[in-house]
Amino acid sequence: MKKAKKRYMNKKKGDETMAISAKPRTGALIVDAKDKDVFFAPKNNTTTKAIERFMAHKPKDGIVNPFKK
Amino acid sequence: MTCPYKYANEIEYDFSLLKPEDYDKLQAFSCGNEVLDAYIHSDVIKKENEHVYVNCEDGLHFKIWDKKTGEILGFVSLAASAIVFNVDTTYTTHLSAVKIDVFAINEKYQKLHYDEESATDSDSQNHYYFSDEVMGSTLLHIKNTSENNVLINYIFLYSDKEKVHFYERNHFERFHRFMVGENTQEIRNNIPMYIRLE
Repeated sequence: MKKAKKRYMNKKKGDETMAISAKPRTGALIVDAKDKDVFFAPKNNTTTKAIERFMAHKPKDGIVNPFKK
Repeated sequence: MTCPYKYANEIEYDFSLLKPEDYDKLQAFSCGNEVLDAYIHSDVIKKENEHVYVNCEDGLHFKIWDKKTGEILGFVSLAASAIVFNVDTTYTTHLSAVKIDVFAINEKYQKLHYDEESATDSDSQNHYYFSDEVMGSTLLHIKNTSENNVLINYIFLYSDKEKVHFYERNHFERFHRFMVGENTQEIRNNIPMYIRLE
């Protein structure tokens, strides 16, 4: 077996199916999918946090702010 | 000329579309970045013979202006866009987004604290400047657009390397590793950053 293919082969001996599913491209996709789930999960770094910070700072008395009514 | 205000919470400002009649006031605006100033002075409002018009090739331009003096305090340019997201090696999708093409604050107002509380806080993480206020107005403007006109899921921009901390303070983060930034001469040295709209 060539070196490159061997590198991505699953360590479990005798399990040919797992070795096939761990080919470089498929393997990368499995890892990436986990990352993407994290990316699309609700987070704190959103405009909600930024706008809360914006709204918390009130203009001086008598000053009208178009966004802070 | 120096900033006439002690704190930014004293400024009665508005956020509105730039008009051709703002030409002279825009010439007086400077954010301290020569390249950006040159663009703002020469390419945003065009004068061709008798015809004066706002050049919206790269985005829709907004001015943040002092309602008492008329002075332009900030300049923001927004464009409908998308973030390229590589789902895998063979499939790419686009995340609906608004691009903040230009975010520039009048040099005199850049270090202006919003209030005394910010000015006296020893922790710089708690500082809140006029520039943060303009960013908040910009985010709210985009959020209103997203809720009333057209769905937008993300906002992104290409930050000057020295301004990354400012955007991080406003909850932007660097592009996720599956997001693909543009690769043009103008922004090659900038850092792509995004925030999710909620």
